Amino acid sequence: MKNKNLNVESEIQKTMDLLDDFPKIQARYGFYDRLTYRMKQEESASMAIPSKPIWRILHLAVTPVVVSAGIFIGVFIGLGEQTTTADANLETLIETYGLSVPSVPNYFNAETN
Amino acid sequence: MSDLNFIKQLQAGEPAAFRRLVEKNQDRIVNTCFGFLQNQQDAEDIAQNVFIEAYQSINKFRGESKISTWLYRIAVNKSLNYIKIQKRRRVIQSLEAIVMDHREKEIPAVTDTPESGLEKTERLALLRKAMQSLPNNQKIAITLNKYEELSYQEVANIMDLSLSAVTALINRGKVNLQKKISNFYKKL
Repeated sequence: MKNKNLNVESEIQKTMDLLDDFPKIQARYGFYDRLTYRMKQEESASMAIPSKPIWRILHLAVTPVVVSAGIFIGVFIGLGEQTTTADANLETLIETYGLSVPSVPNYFNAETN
Repeated sequence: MSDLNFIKQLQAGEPAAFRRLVEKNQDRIVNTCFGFLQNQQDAEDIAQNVFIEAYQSINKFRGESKISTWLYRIAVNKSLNYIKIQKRRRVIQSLEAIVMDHREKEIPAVTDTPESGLEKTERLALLRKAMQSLPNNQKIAITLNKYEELSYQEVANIMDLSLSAVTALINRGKVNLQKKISNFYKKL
């Protein structure tokens, strides 16, 4: 028992002594090159998003507004142009070929009657 | 070249100055990170984060301390944050394992008995494991002092503490380490 205790004490001491004997770790070869490669990659990835928080928030808030405004304007202009063109085409056809607009029977009214 | 000139070059974004900063400090930063993380790959990844942060915030550095002291501070913070994130991940993973009922049995790192005596590498592993379980401030002080062989004054500068506070931290840390190691041997 006494022997075991002595053994334990010596093991503890041996382990504690290693505190002054930690092997030093060094950066592996090419550390700087790997670092700069990573920095370039991260830089190109973050080019689209501004780095400062305030610009980032603005960027996030404004982007959907701009996109939806673009879609809305696009649809609005597109619809307006289509309607005008259709009317203009009909009038041009009537005038060019001297057509008269036939009286279209009102089927809906006829059916309901 | 004086430190002030060097800092000005860094702040001007000169690549040669940044290269010099990295090459001069890479080993000590990797070694410090390793002291906390115990894994070469993790240590190098975190050391890279340290230099990226230094590059991005060099304009905030006022030159009131040595540039290496500043880098050590970043390294300590980043390493401890990484450990915190890893711990959280491990908790989630172990919860998942419980749910899946596939929990692996923990394999003890040290298998030998005091009678036969442990090998040096096993003792080192035991010591490192015991260091990981110390309170953060004791862990920081001992890691900087023992892994990086920094003086108590340098550790005090990095930790922004008085010399006597650091001395007390390291002494308490050693006592705690001894208790933990002793418990380990007594259980065998």
